[in-house]
Amino acid sequence: MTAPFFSLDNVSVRFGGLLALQRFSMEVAKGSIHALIGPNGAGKSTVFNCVSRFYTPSEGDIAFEGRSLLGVPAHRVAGLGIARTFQNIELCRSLTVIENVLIGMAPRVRGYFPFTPGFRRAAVERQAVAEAEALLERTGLAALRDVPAEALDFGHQKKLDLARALASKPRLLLLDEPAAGLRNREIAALDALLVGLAREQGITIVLVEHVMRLVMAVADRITVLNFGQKIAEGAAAEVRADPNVIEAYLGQGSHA
Amino acid sequence: MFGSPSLARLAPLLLLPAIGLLLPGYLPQYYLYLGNVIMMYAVLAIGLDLLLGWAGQFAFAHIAFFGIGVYGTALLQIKLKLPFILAMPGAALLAGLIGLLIAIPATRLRAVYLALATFAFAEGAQWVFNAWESMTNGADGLRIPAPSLFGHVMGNDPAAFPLVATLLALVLAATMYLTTSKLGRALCAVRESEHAAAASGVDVRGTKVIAFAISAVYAGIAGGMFTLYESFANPEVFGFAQIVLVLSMIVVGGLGSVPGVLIGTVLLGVLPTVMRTTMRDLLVWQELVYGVILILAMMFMPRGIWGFIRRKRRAVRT
Repeated sequence: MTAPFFSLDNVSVRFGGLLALQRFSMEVAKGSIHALIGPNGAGKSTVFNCVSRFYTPSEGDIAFEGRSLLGVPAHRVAGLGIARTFQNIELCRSLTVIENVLIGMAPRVRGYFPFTPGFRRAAVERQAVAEAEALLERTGLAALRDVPAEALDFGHQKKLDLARALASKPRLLLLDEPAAGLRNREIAALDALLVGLAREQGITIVLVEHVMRLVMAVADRITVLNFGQKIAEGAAAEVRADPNVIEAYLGQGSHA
Repeated sequence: MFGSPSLARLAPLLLLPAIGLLLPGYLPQYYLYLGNVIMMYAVLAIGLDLLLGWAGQFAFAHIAFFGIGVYGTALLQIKLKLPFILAMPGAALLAGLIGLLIAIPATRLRAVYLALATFAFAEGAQWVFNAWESMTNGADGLRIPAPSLFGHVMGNDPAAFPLVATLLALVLAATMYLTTSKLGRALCAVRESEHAAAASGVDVRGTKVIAFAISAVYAGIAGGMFTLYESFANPEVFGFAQIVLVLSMIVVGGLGSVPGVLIGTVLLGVLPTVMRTTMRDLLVWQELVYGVILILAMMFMPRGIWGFIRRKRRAVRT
């Protein structure tokens, strides 16, 4: 049996007396969009923070492309091909849009020392800026290239958070509530963008999301978390029909 | 903006050595002294700004590294008979090395704890400058030998002026390269969001340690510049008042911007002279004037004079 593309295996996370994740396992297939849903406080962001190596699980293992992430420091995760966005948007607020994207390219901009002048450095930086501009074009931020991130409206900040994550050319993308706070029209565009990333560019996506319309439209598979434990998993239609899920998460009489 | 500093921005730096060579023939000694002091403070302030304004680390050990630069440059000449051209880089590297050693534990601390720990280090260093009499001559102060460079003996203001100006130009050029590089971006990322930085592949702690060390090297260079025109150093020079002055220069001028820091350095560097000639008997209130300026700057120009100018310019353009 070959190792899964990305997996969490019996991962537990403890904050003092609170068990934020309890022997949680999940396997994500390459090229799929895998939604991770559950009520607030269920432990979804904790999963992401473990993958980002901000938290260390008290037991279990997390593996990407067959190697464990637990021995990897936080700043090396991006270089391995894993990028993420943040629920509450983490941007370098006083820097411009393109500067934020360039920061996202950090693991890929190499080959010179900071103090050194020279052609090599200029070439590396020119290449980086060109790539960043292309990415802004694709994500619809090109017109805002030199605007400070803090001056953007909420929707554009979300887009920039995503563009920064894409800048590292990830093979696995963790999205933490990308649709939260977006208007209907913007959610439709996000829907198309995510499907495009997965189908055309082959980027595997783990999606934490409360907006069920988006989850049901794009997710190949859904894992449901409640109180740090997995309560259901399967294709969208199965999970939607699962009485446990309806009971615990969607609430009775819901028709999400 | 990042990338590489353009020639159009680097070329004006060539004016500094030229001005440095020309002015001593025209200006009275006192203005040359003032010029030397301001240029030295500019290097000191830019160095602190790399750590404070760029990397966002509230660390106050800077003045200790300045002291290591001054005593190091002087003592390497006195004790080891090294020429200035080796003594000054040696002292700057020593400052950087000690900065690196301090940074490794200090970067585990955040915000007020980092401020307190680094402040304690600065106080400790001042104590060492006082107590290590066999080296520093303690509170009596150390006579700094007049450095010479290729037979050109300095130690007074007109003689030192060209080299001080040249050193400032070199430091400014290095700063432009540094801040427009990927390390400059990493510093900003660490300041703005450690989570975004780490998730983007920036080594947050490593970047802080590097910022600390580079900042210490700048302070060491400023120390070397000090020995070019001053002939005497005593531990009082490296006290709390100095750190407040350098901090004021950065905050008033504009955190995290080289032009801002230069503006702040010139303003606060000239201010004591202006006050001496205009305030006369009221001079005892000069500390109050600094305090009021700092408070007003923070209230009305939280990003300093440079931030204020940039906002006005942007408003005009749109």
